[in-house]
Amino acid sequence: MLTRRGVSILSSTLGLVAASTLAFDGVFSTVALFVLSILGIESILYINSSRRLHTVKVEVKSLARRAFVGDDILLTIEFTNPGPTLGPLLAIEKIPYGFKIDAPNDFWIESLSKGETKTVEYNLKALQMGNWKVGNTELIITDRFGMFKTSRSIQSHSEIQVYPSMRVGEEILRGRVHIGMRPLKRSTVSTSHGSEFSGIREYYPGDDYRQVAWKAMAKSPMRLPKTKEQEYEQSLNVTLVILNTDTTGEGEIGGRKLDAAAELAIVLAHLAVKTGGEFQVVYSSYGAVDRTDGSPLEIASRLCNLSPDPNLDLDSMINSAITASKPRSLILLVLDSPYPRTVDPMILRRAIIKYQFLHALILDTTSFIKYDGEDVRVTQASEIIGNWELGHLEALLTQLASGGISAQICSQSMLVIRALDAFSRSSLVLET
Amino acid sequence: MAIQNNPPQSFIFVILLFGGMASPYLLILITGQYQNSIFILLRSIIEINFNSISAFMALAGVGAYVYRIRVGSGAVQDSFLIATLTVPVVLPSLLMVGLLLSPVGNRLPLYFGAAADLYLAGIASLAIVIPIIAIVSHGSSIIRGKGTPAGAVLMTMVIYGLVAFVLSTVISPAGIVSTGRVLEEAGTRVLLQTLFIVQFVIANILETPIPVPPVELGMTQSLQLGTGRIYTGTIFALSAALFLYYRLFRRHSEEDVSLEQSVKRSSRMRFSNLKSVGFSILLAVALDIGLIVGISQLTGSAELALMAGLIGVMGLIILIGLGDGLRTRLLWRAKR
Repeated sequence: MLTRRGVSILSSTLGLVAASTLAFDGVFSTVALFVLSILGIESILYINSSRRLHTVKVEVKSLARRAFVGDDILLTIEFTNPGPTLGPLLAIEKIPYGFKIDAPNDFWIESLSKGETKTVEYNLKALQMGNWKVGNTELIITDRFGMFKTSRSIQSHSEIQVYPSMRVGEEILRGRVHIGMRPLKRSTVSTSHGSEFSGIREYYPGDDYRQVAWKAMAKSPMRLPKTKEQEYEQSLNVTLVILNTDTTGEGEIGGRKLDAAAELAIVLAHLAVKTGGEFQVVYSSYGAVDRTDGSPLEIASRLCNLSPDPNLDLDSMINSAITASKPRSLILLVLDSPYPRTVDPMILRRAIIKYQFLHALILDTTSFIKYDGEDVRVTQASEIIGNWELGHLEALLTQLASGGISAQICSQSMLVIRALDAFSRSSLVLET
Repeated sequence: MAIQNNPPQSFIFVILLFGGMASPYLLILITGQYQNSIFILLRSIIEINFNSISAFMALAGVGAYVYRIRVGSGAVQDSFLIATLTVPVVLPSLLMVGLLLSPVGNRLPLYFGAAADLYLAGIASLAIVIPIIAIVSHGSSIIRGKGTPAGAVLMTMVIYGLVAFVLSTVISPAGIVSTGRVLEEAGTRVLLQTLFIVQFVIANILETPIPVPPVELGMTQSLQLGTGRIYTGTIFALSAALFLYYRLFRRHSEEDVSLEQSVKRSSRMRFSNLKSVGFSILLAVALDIGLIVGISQLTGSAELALMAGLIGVMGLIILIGLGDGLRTRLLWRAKR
């Protein structure tokens, strides 16, 4: 196929031929014919090479199968030519949008002799969680002047799973980040069987009958059932409900609302490790409610495929969150409701039951979608839309407050802080 | 700039290529003793007469152009260049208009004649410096890698024509008495020659009788270059071929739409590639010889053989382009 570069070269050569012909000069006409012949010879050599493009073997090698957001992944691609020498090749790597390449993504292979293998290496930086196919290549053969080209698409089977970043969570675990209003009390034990007795508390439905404090119950004035409290029980359990509606995919690469929610989940998972409480995440997947718990890494591996779900059922998700949450739980609701969407507070109110706290974190869309351009009109328009959106969120906040639901508007940078603050406040309420 | 990105050897190579590309007009410059024309301009400035302004401004035009190339385009550079190149022609024209409007009465023919002489000297001064400006531009485009390679080859032909034109008009008589007189006569010949070229083109279009060339009337001179043209022509052809590879054989990407974008990338023409490049050049020579000799034998006309060869090779490239495009489409359809 003739390239735009080829059109430029051939049209200028045509001009040369026309001028030399009009000049009625034998020497210059011969030179023009010679220049034209070189282009002709290169074109013939290209045709000869391009027929054998499909014989080139391409192998993609990646040392990593899993990575975290922000990691660098080294990718190696080997090109082997089993046939006669091929002309210049241009390998263009198709970088998935969840990755970034610092160097140019095209690699020039001047020639590939018979049986020769040439290797191309490049670093990819993971920007966004998810399952990504890497190493898809477009192999282009051209002539030495770049007048013609033939391309071949090579689909790779190399897949890399990118987990959300664990950095902030790990720093919390190491105690580097100050959390909320009060210092966190670290649990001495994490299992019920090995925990120490710390006092007597009221009986909650579902408590192990072996833990019932019969003597204390007998001594109490109303004969109310009492339970032996273990030290691990002083910690707060957290259920994070990610309402991954179709709008949660909004935001920049690696900075979507979903990415922020997943990062929050990892932070809270680390917090659970530190404080001894239980932690689980509830989210929607293809219209069905899904739940995950376990170590931060396990949660990261499950959440890396989290995607916006247009079939999300809020009712089912709230019900699932209520049933899955243990007593002394904080239900954190990551809610995305940009204009003109609203949320029925009555559905959320169901989650407010005894010994459970509910706190909604309303995502501020304006902090996820930013305009950094210099166009004044676009800046003004985005400001107007931003103000309108904030007005809508404040109205939603009032609506939720009137329904007795604690909620806060969270920008991208404030989501984790607000969640930790809610955790801290709930723990304080439990202690008092 | 290409030179900054390429190793120093590359700069020497480009200079050599420029020398080769410039060889046809360098030959004519030397044979025709072009330096005499420059000396006439310089002497005109030293003599400080009425024509000195035109000669000085014309030569200053060369300086302005060199400055513009070094610094780059800009309002000051452009104004400087335009001012220097227009003064030799515009100043006498304004004088003539002013004289026509002024109440000089019966002395008008005297003053007007002087202004007309100044006008002719201005035209001659410009005609002398224009090939120099063109050569500077040619060298700059080759060294900096501006424009297309075919454009650089074409520029050689244009400069050759310009130099031949100027040399045919500026006759340098031995023992010049007045440089002003020489410049005025040269200006007249420039006008005559230009008039002839225009008439020639019109006559060709209208198919009317071709006018008699000023050379045959003894108004201008013709140059005899001899076998030198064949040697310089060969050097020019080889240099053009190598320049083609030097400029175009570079790493190019999908984004490199224009040729100038790929100038930023270093040339792949190296000693290690000379074998394959030389093979292609030899094939091209063989193809040319085959075409010219073959068609000449068939038609008995070398000129016709050249024309047929040009059309044939161009046709071959177009056929390859069309065939390749067709094959791509067929493969695409077969995949679907």
